[in-house]
This record gives sequence, C-alpha cells and structure tokens, in this order.
Amino acid sequence: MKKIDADCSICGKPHLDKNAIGINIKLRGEKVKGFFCLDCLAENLGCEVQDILDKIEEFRNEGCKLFE
Amino acid sequence: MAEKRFVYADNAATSPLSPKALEAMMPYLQSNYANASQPYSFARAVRKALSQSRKIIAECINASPEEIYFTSGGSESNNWVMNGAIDFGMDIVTSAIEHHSILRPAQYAAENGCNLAYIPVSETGIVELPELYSRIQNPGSLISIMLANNEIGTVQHIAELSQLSHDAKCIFHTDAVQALGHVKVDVQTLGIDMLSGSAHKFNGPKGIGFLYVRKGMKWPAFIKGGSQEFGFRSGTENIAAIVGMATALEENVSSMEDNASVLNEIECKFLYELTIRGIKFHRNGDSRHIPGNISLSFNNYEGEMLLHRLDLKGVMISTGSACDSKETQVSHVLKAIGLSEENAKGTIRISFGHQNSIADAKYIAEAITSIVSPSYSQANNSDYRNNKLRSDIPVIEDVSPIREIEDYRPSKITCVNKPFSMPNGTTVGENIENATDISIPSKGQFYIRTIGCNAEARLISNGKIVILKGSILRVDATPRFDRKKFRQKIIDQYCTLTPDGYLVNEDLPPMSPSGASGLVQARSSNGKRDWLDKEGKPLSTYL
Repeated sequence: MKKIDADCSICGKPHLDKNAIGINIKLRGEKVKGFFCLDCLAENLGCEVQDILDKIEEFRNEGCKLFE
Repeated sequence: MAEKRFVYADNAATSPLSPKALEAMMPYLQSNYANASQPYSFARAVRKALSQSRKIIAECINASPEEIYFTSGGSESNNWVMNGAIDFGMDIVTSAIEHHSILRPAQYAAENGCNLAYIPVSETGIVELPELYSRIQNPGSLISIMLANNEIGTVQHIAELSQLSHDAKCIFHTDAVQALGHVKVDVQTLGIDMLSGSAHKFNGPKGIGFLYVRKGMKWPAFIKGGSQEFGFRSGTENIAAIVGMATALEENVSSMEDNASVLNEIECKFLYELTIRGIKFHRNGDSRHIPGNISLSFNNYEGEMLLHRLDLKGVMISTGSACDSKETQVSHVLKAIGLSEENAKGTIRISFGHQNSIADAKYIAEAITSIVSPSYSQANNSDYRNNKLRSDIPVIEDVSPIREIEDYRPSKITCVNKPFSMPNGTTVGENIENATDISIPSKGQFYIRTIGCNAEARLISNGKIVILKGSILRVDATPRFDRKKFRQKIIDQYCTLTPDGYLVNEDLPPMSPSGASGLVQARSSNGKRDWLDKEGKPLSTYL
C-alpha cells in the first residue's frame, strides 16, 4: 500500500497516521480528495470519535490492508 | 437530519424473534427439558410439542407432518439436498443467483462427477422457462431454484418452473428461506418436491430450520446415528427452537397479508422520500418481490461506504459488495443480473420487516440523502438556515404536501386519449378514432397488482391495452429497462408522484399489452402473461 502523507484538510493537523487515512477512505470513499483527522471526521460525519475508533478496530481485525 | 435513532432494516439477514415465539419457547428451555426420544412420562409433553410443531409447519405450507424434517437451518437443508444428488449421481441444474449453500455444494458435486448447469437470469432476476428447458439434459436431474432471492427479493414463477421440471421427469427443489412467512407458499399448488426453510428469517429463533421432502420420495439420510427425524437427520431435537419456529411461522402466515400491506406502504414511502429529494438511484429486482426487500444502486458511491456511514447514523442495512483484505468482492447475484461493476459496488439492500414504520423509512431516506446529497440535507437543516453556516448552499423549500387522491377507481372509458409521440418519432395511440369506436363494448378489464404498482386496464378490440385513470405505476425502473425515455415522457405528461407510486391522472393512450405492462412495472415484461383478469387468468387466455 502506497504511504500517504497528508494533513487534515479542516484543522491542518499534520501527518495523519495510517488509521486516519484508512478510515477516511472507508467512510468517505475511495476517491476522496483531502483527509480529515479523527476529530474533524467525527464532527463531519455527525458521530463520536469513539464510533470511528471502533470502526478502525473492526476493519483491522478483518485484516484490511489499509490499517496495517 | 433528525435525532439519531436505531433502525434495523436488514431483515433479510435475520429478523427479530417474535415475542410470542419466545414465550412459547420458554417452558422448553427451562422446565420441560426432557429428551424427546426417552419413553418416560416426563418426555411426553416434549414429544407432544415436537409433534404439534411439525403439524403446524406442515399446515403452513400445505404439506403433511411426516414430510417435514427438522434441521439446523436453511444452509443445512440446502446441503442435505445437494448431498443427496451427489449420492445418487444426479445431474444438477440450478440458477446463477442461488445462495452459496446451494452453489458451493453444487460445485462440489460437479467436482465429484455430477453434471452441473447454471441457468442465467433476466435483468430482474427471473429464471425464464426456455433457459431452464435448454439446460435439462437428462430425466432424473435435480432442479434447484430459489423461491425468492435474498439480495434483490425477486420471486420466481415457481409453479411454471416445477411443472417444466416434472414434465422432464426431474425433481424440483426450492430454497424458500427468504420467502417463507413473507409470501404464500403452498407446496401442492407450486408443485414442489423439496423445500428448505429457516426460522430466523421469519421471526423465529436462529439455528433451526427444516426440509420438506414430498411423501414417496427416497432421499438419503443426512446425519446417521439415531432415530430422530425418522432416521434421516439424527441428533437430539432442539425442542425450544422447533416450537419457536412453528409459532413464528404460524404467526407470520396468519398475518401475511396485513404485513405485506404495511411493508408495501413503507417501501413506497421510502422510495418516494428518496425521489422527492432528487436522489438518483436505480432499483434492482422484479416487481414480483418479497415485500420490503429493496436493492438500490447508486452511481459513484460504494455500497460498503454507505453501509458504514448509515451504521454511524444508527441504520442497519446490507451491501452487495464487501471488501475483503485485498479487494472489493461483488455479489454474484448482482453480476448475474448484469449490473456493471460500478453499479454493483454501489449497491445496498434495505429489507424492512413488519416491526419497521413509516418514520423508519423516512429516517433512512434522510440518512441516505445526507450522505449522497449533503447539500440537500444541509439546505433543509434548520441549524444551517438559522445560523447561516453555509451561505453558499441554496435553500430548497419544503416539498409541497402530497395532494389528496380523491378517486382511485378507474374511470369509465368514453374516449381514448390524444396520440402520444415517442422519442423516435412514432406515435402511440394512432388510429385513435378507430380505437374509440371499437372500444365499446370492450373485452374486459385486466390488472397488474404487484408491489409498487396497482394498475387497471381495459383491453380494446384491436388487442391493445388502455391503462385507466387511477392506476399506480411503479416508481423505480430496472437499470436495463430499455424504454425509460418513453416511460418518463408518459409520466411527465399523465402522472403525479404520490407515496404509492406514479398516479395516472387520465386514461393513457392505447398501447401493446407488453408496452403497457412494461410501463406499469418499469421493466421489460410479457404483457400477455402479466395482465390478469379478476379471476387471475392471464390476458393470453383471451387473445
């Protein structure tokens, strides 16, 4: 998987980790342009950060390469 | 978007246990725990419950109690059927849209010397008779075609398929897991030799199902080693689950029409809510489908993404595509009905149950809108309006209230409508004067009453059909319906969108029976077969 180095498109938080990148792709689509940090993503999607963290955990347990 | 709520709309995956079934099960989980095979008096009540449950289930499908064999569920029942075919070395003919519990064992059978043929399906998921006919090579084959599909909800013309199978001296099995308790299943009328059922799809407990095997058929035992299930499926019976299954099936069958009516209303409301929000989608499946089962494809959106986003909003649905560790796997059913890979990847299944409400339908439509058309949601959100958080988003005013539909009764034909120009320049309804003259007296009235449409039409003497005022046309067209432009033009000119579907405001111009049935059902169809008279006889009877 190609490593993506991105900052949060909303708050500017630098160097988002692979979990943040991966969950952006999962929840906003493969063609997403610009990534959000977990706080901004949760706010954008109208959910709690913990909901996002739970999703990340589930994807990782399923063996999704985005979160390796 | 309204306040977050929990909406379970994945009833085709599993359904909530009926409280009545739970109540019926409780004594057999606690006090009446005897092994039904024991001869002492403590086991008498358990044996009686087993026998009574078998009788109830048999009655629900018009079978005899001794034709019902309890299993652990639909997958086991299907495997039992396929294993028998392997034992007998039978040819197997099955459709391309079966559940994996048929397809995988069938593949295994092929690897072990059985001839295997797959029947392709139409774009709506229908197995056509000629396709079945052309794949039967030898008498004594096993034909296995599911009664209703789990992903797109399409209900097959089982009576015709079984008749053809019997004419070819073959055995006919149907996987009725998705259909039981939701559509009428009568093994005698439908001509079924074997049928698989699973309790948790009709509000029964998980881990229990049954296989119906017509009396007189000799099918090999599935689990050997005991006398249970007449020696064909050994193992101590799960009495509580069996009682729960019988209770749930009886309950669902007795309220089937009411449930279907509620689900039809919910389904129409859901599609209406999406449509008025301008959401572009197309619906997969046939107008003959399980009530409440809705498969929708969205362009440019991934089904998996939609599933997880809806989950975050408290909505539980399924998707037709799932990502494994390496790539997105597209459902074999969606491939078989010819969806493009992109559409298949953007497919979700919403399966309402009778516990759902109109409010649930509206909530899901709002949730989908907020994902695929956020600008609409934000523009209609009072916070955005009041706080002017996004001044760049145009405010879309509330949709006009649905007008009262005063008269659903078909109008009497006194004249035929004006000609209607098709996009290719030809005219529907030409020879209008002639048609008007010969329409009196007409040959009779015909109906298409399937979920999403309720149309009444009159056959006029030149063999054409006039769809009458008050008819309801299905909202959503199947993806490859090749007369969408024609249909849209008719709708624009003659119809109003209502929660039930497109309401025909005046009698439509005469058109061919198939053209008219296609217009009503929004799919390619055989009008001579689909238009039925009051007694259910097809139009072909009269032509």
